[in-house]
Amino acid sequence: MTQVAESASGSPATGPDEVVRLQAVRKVYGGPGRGTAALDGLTVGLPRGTFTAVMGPSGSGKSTFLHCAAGLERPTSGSVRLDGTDLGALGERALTRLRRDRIGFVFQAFNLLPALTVVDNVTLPLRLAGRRPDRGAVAEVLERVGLADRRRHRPAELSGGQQQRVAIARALVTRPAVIFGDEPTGALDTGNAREVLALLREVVAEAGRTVVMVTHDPVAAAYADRVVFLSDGRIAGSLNRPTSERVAEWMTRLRGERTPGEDGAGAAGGETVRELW
Amino acid sequence: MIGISLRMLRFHAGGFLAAFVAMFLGAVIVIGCGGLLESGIHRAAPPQRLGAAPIVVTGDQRYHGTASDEVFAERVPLDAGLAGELAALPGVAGTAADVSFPVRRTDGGGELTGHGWSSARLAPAALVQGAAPSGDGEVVLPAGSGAAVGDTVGLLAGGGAARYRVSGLVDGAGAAYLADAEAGRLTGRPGKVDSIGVFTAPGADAAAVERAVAAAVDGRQVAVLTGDERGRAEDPGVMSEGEDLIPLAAAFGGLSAMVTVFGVAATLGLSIRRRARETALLRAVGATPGQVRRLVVGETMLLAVAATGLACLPGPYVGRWLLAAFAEAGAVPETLAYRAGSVPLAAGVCTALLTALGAAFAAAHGAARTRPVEALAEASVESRRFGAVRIVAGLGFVAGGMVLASATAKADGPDAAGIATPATLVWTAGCALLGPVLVTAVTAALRRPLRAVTGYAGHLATENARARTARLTGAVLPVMLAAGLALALVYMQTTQTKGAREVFEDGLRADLAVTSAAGGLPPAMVDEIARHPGVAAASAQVTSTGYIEPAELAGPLVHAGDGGEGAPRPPAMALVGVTAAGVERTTAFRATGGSLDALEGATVALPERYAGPYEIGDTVPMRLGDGSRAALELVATVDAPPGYETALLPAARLLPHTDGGLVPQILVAAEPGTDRARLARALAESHPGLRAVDRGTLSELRAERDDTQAWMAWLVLAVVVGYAAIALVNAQIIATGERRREFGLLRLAGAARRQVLQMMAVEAVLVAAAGVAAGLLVAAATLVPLSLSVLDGPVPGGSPWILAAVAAAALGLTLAATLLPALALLRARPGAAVAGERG
Repeated sequence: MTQVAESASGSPATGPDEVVRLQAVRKVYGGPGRGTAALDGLTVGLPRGTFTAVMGPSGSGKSTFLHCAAGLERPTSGSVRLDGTDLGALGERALTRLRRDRIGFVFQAFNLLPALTVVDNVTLPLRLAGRRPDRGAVAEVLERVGLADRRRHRPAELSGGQQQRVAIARALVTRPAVIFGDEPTGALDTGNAREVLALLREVVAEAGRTVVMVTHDPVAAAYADRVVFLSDGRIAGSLNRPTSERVAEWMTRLRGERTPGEDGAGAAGGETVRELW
Repeated sequence: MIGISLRMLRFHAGGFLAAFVAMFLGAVIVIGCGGLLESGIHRAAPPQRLGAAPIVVTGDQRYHGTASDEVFAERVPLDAGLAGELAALPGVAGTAADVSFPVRRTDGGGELTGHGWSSARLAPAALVQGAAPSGDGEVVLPAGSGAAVGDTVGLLAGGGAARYRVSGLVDGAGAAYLADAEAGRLTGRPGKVDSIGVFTAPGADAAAVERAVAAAVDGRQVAVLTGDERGRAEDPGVMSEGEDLIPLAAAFGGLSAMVTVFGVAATLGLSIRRRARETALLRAVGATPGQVRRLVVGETMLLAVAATGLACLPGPYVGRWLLAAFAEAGAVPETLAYRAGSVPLAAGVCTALLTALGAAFAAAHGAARTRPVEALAEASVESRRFGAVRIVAGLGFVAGGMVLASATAKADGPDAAGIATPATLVWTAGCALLGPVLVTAVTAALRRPLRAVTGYAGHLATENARARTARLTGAVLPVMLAAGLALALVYMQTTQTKGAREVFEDGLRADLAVTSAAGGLPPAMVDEIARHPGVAAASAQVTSTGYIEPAELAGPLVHAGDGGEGAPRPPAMALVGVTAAGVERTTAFRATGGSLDALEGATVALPERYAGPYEIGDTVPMRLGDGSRAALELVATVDAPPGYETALLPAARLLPHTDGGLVPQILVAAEPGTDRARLARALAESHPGLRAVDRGTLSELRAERDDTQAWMAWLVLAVVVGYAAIALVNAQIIATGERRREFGLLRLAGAARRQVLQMMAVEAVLVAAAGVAAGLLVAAATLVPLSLSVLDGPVPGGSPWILAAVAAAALGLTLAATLLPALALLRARPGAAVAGERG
């Protein structure tokens, strides 16, 4: 069913229809000189209308990648373009507005304000933007995530999976250019996780949205069109139309590289390093 | 946004309760102070004894033409002849003159006030039995006094004792009526009366009569009173002490408002930190820093409006209660009425709302800086950023504190506290702003010793403190505020008391002091006592307050009301009437120029500080305590500690211008080798009603008088410190409540409840110690300069046990407010605590 596409396809420096473009991004934490680089000259582009999973061992820089791509943190050097806008040129207020209008977020947990009902949580970005939510659009979004009958519930009255679906609805309501997910299924059981991933898949396939998801779970990554692997703040490779088995293999190899001698990861090592696009 | 604010408030009701309580109590106090202030401005005293006369004419207590409209300390008397003058006016049915003097029965019983019989109709007091006093030697007593018509009673009055026949009994209590002539003699100021009640003729226009009376007395130092003002005639203290109420209420209100800012800001800051994740989520999904700020300010203002609205109900009662408490202590006259219209309420509400707004902006500033990434972090890591604005503002306050400290050190002893009180607040504000730096330094210093005695729990606690500086600061600051205010204000009082006592004792050279139960001693008694065997010297001691009249006011009496900003400000100066022959042996007053022996007739000895333009032999224009002018020849200058400048006058010259008209006290120096106790007994037995006390007792008596003044300050202090203590408890409860999840994790990691409690106990000790240390710093910054001014040394007066008590109270409150909520949190199953996202 899936084909492994480990081709070192030399994609151009700027893709034709890329929603997110990171160019030579470095992010160094700590003081100059003694700091550690979480991202070390990362260059990557994410095409519109795709579902991308970002994977890598702990400390590979995948969270930092997400924060930089979404404008939550500023890179130390390099540039980030989102939907054609250079984030480096924006002030805090403009960045906030951009997040509100063109980015949707789904976090691992604590996605919702406990004080607000489902509808209020979903319409929060619109309210913050000073826009009156369109009833029809809100109803449609809630319908899509399957929570049309939970409009007046509060987060505490919902299951974990339902809460994540509310978060997806909130991410969808502004019709953003891209939706970022930070381990969106990390706190869910298998059944709920499957529902949420299927929903994200559907958002890409049917609504034509772009989704970027950081995860450590090979099963979750298999829902994506493509998996990008990070290691030590650099791209270590990618898989098109991944299966969970192939992803798991990759992850084992990546971990092996970092701790040589722990398992026989060296076997496929040569394949990994060339993986760049 | 308002909708979101409302829902947030409802949801986080528990977390906001503390801030609500802080705002509510603060607003109650501020509104109460507004009421006190207005009462001081109105100085209304519904008449009791003069109630029957619609118009009361009395002395005008104000020193017109001075910048601040000084108020004379003694009753300004009226000429008795004025009564007849006013009775002749059209529309006046009659007048009744009133005099008052203290009377005591020789057979025990409470103090009575003596009056002439003609003023009985002012009350009105009606005879129940018997007849009015028809001449000398007759008295009318209250019906409940136990005496019967025809009895003979001994009365101490006018400095002597005499026997009187009870001619009748009246209703009411507390007043004894004598024949008018005798009453006039007993006041010591014959020919003068205190006030005159004016009765209008039936059918006369009261307003027209009032105008006619006012016109008749125009140009004289006379006030015409109607309505609730008439009470001022009964007790001139309503004017002077009512006026004292204004700055007191203003200072108290200001202090409360500032303490409220700290209290509310601390509790708000903690409850907002508790929701840091929510705020970060808001930021991540698109709330700008401005929106977060508006959200926090909006929530706080909603809360503040509710809290302040509610505070309008008990506020006036608190003001009334405070006034009653002041009156009870004798600090203000009991007749002074509580008068608070809508102005203090509105002013109090505005102050309270502004206070809340200030606190909200401080809290919102931090919230708005929340980074959206914090929503993604599993355990929120505290950002250590610390605004430059805050540091600059903090340093600014510290600089201001230093300026005030140097001003305090340079000020006159009695004035120093007036500068030291605001200095306390400025230092507190500076320390609060620089709190994180201060707290980090203090905890770093305490870490090692604490660990050494507390083992692993101590290790955990100090690590928590190091990682969570902001939370720790939020917990420490209220402790600092409470401890700092308590220490600074309490020691300020004790230092002043000690300073006043030292000045008093330094000035006293007498071995004994003679007083009388009969309201005072006749002036002739001084010579009699001086001739008593064993007595080396005796001097009268008559105290009053007066002024050197500025040249601008030397002309006719000014009636233009407030003299305004440019008007002269003559310093109020203590006046002491003495006997030239005994003054140097009974007091420490020494002439630095001229001679005190020359204090006879119309003479004065001025303190060097104010003698300035005058030479010995010059005539000095002065205003005495009752507002009368006196041209006195300068015969000597005397030295005095700054702020305790005293002018000396011959007792005979000063006496007619005091309320009592009698010598309140005669200082006695014993011959060397005389048994003082025996001399005291001999003096006391020489005349009925005499008492002789030694120096120690005298000092104690003076201290008791001082305590009445101090009592107001103590009450104010108790309210402010009480409020700060509530803020302390609030803050600890919130700071502990935030840690439900952390406790759960510790429990899951195998910590027993006892171990978690131990950790929290060590943290509480750390918080209390850091808070008391910082508070001590604030207090020291205030008290050292004050002590330098008042006591000429850096160590403040007062027992070190006060420090121990404050530290113990701070520790006890912090421990209780930390451990009780911790205990409650530990009841939950550890798993549930970790799973729950909100506590």
